[in-house]
Amino acid sequence: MIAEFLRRIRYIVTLRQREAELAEEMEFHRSMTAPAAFGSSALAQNRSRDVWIPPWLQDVVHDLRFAARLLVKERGFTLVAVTVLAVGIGIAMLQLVLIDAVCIRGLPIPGVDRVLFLGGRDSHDRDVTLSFREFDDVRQTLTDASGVAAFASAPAVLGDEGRAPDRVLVTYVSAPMFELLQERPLVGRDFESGDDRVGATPVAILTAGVWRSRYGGDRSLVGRAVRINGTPTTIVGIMRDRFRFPNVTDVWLPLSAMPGITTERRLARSLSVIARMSGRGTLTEIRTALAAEADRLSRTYPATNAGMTLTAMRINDRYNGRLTDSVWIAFAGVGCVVLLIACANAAALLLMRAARRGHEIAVRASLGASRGRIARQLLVESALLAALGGGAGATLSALGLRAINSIIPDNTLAYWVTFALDVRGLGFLIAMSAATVLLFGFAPALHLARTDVSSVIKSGSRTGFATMRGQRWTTICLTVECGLTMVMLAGLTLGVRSVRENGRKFFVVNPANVLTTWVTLPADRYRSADARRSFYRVLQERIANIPNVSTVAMATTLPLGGAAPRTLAIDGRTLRSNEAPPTVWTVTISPQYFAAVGAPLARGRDFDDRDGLPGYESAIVNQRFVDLFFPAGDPIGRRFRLPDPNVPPSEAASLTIVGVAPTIRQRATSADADPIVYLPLSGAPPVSAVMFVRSLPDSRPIAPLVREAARALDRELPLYRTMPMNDALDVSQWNARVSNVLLYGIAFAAIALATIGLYAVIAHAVLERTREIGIRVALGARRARLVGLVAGRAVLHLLLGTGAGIGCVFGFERLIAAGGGQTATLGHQLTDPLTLTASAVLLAIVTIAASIVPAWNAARVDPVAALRFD
Amino acid sequence: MGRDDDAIDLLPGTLELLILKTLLAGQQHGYGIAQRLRVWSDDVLQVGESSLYPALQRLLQKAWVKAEWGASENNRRARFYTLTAAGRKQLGNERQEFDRLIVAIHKVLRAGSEA
Repeated sequence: MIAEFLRRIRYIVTLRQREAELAEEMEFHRSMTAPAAFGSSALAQNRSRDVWIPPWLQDVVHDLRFAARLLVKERGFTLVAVTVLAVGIGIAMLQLVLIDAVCIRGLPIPGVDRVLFLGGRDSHDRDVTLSFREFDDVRQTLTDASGVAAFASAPAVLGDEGRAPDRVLVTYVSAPMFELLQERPLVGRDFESGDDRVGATPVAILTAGVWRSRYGGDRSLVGRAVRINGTPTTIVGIMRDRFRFPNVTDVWLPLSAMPGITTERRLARSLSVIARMSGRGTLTEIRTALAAEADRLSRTYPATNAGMTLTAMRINDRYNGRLTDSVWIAFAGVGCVVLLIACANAAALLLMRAARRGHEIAVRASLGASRGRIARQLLVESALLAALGGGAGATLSALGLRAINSIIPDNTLAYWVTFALDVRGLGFLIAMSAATVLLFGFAPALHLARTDVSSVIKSGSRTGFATMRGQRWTTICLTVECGLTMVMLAGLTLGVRSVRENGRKFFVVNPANVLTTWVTLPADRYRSADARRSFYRVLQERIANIPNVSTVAMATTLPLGGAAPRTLAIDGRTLRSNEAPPTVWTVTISPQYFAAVGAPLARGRDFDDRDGLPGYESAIVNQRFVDLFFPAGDPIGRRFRLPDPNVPPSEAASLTIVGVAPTIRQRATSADADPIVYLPLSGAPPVSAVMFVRSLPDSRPIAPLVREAARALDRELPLYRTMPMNDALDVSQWNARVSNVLLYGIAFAAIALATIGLYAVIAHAVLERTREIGIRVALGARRARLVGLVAGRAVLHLLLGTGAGIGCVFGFERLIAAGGGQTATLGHQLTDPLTLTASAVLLAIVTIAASIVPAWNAARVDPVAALRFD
Repeated sequence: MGRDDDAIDLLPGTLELLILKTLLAGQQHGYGIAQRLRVWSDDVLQVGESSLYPALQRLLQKAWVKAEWGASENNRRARFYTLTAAGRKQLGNERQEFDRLIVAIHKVLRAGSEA
């Protein structure tokens, strides 16, 4: 079979030579017989070719050749149609790749459907991970599973002789973890149960990334010792490239190396637990076993486990984004809309050309071409266009993915989330190109195949065929297209407004000449708050002594870097019975923070060294907090508490407001500024903090000096993410920037598509009416009236489109609302009057741009040429 | 004469079988094959070119024969067909199959005349 297939291929490749040979052979035959005795050599040639190449394939090749010649002949049309399809397919493909990576593909684990994530749901109905004790109980309950393992991640310091220390992310894993994930080390060995015992020799497994970047891929590293958080630890293995379970881990350690793990209380629920089902086990059985165990635990340990259930779900259900989330629905919706617009455009273009080809088709039909044959020819033309469009679209989406990947900082996305065109992407591409053929190629093909031959030929016109039907189709296409474009434009207007306001959010901060750097104190050496407090104090003093440094401060996050939510209780005010306590957001800062970020306090005083120490429980609040909670009177000196949910409010420390800060945004996505409470760093010195070092303008780069100061204080303390504050703000806003790339890319594409579509339809209308316009000119019509004729058509489409568009925008918002999402960005609705007006104006501009050229052509019609233009 | 391609209606595949048989006597060009068929069948089988050459292409495709250019008896360039091992095997099988078919046809015809 295969050999025969290869012979067929060889025949096709050497077709000319083979046919020449056959001709020569028959020529010899002919010379040997009487001339009259020889049959038709053409028939013999054809039949011989049919032996090697199936006739249907020859037809398709013929159609393709014909289509290719036509596309080359009508270069302008081809270019426009391919561009339209490329934009539609490219954008839809880009979005599918993103959705696939985040929501569908899941973790690269063999037999991933049998791997479960085990957790709990506590008495407050919150999802929780498990404590070591609970993990132990679960492990002993699920004896039927082929493996149960736990993990937890923490930052750590990787140090050794001769190299600067690095801040790394370690994940503590229990021994059967890699076996359960069916991963084997590239070099060295897996953890053994002996490694995972208290008092065992400390061992570690490295990711290939750290092994290559820090140790140059040296195989002899296995068996050598490095220091992790100061503890000499032997490297026993190196995992394969790009494996960084669970997210962006650098180093794995046995679970027993996790500080305080075995003595942990039942409430310290810090372990994620996964299990692999054995061959015959089912999820229901596991859930039943867990329910029984949860029941036992709640009876045995009522203080910690009463009301808590144990849960099991497939690991991909836990780690994948949910496709039903409104953001993904909107995202996929936008992709589909752009693709539909592109298809509507391509259909309009094809219909426009079909009108020109009516005569040709009618002639072919009258010469005996069947309707099926004509429809197939037209579909092949569409398929060729779609293939070209698909190829160009793939290139476009690859460029888009490159732009997106270059924005996303390293170590941000989990190791299994990669945005790249792969085999699945190729599958999407082919499916999508085929779908576009059906969408845009079918209507024109049917339409033309139904051509009434006699009426077209009798009409004697090359263009005047079935115009009514053609116009109806194009009007429908165009109205739909305007409607969809309007949704895009509304989204774009909204996006531009939020981006502008995003810009304003930074108004109060002055990031120029500020260096930011992160520091994480190893838990083992800086366990007490006192140790961290005094370390930070000395570090800030040392850095402040660097020449040209004007201000040094620390905080738990950057501006726009998020904040921790807390509930607020104001002294002397009580809540009504069913009123939820207000939420405020907290950021912990050192003295001088506001000076360092360049946003001076509006009222009151800054923190000093005593604030946060017992007896000095003070807080600074932002203007928004004052507006919301102390609209009248002086807020300075007022008191409030930030109670824990499980502790009575009276037991929480009472905080005194000492200052009012300008409103610096911490969360980018919220509609309004949040009320923020700044707490003193000395009160609860964090393990990780960001440092702000403001220097005098035009001074030398101070990053090396800052590093030097830190190293002098603690040789194994890495500073990381050291960069100018402007860059740090950019990096932290990567998701907003990716959204902007997508938003602007898509909106630009939508506008371009709308312009092309409108142009095609209006130009078509003018072309169809050339003879009529010619007569009008011959009879003395003024040019202005002719332009009006074209403009009238454009206005009609504009009105229909705007109407449909407003309907679509409201429909879209309803759809999102039904999916449980909200389209409001920074307080603006898609349907608010300003957004709608702006998009309608944009649509009008697009329409005018699209009709200028056809109107100009109409005004210049030469009556003599037009009347001959049959 | 011969102009009409299908002067004799053959059962499908029979022509290929006959061509293979003619080649059993040694390599031959297309004209020679047609001659042998005519002579051996006492002028009954006059195979037209538009049947013969497609049939030869089918045999080439199945690799039951192979073709080589050579000089004809009157010293002209001609393409000679040779039976391959696979072709020889195929001929054996086909022949048995054909015999079975002929016997079956005879049986049917006889049964009809007895009734």
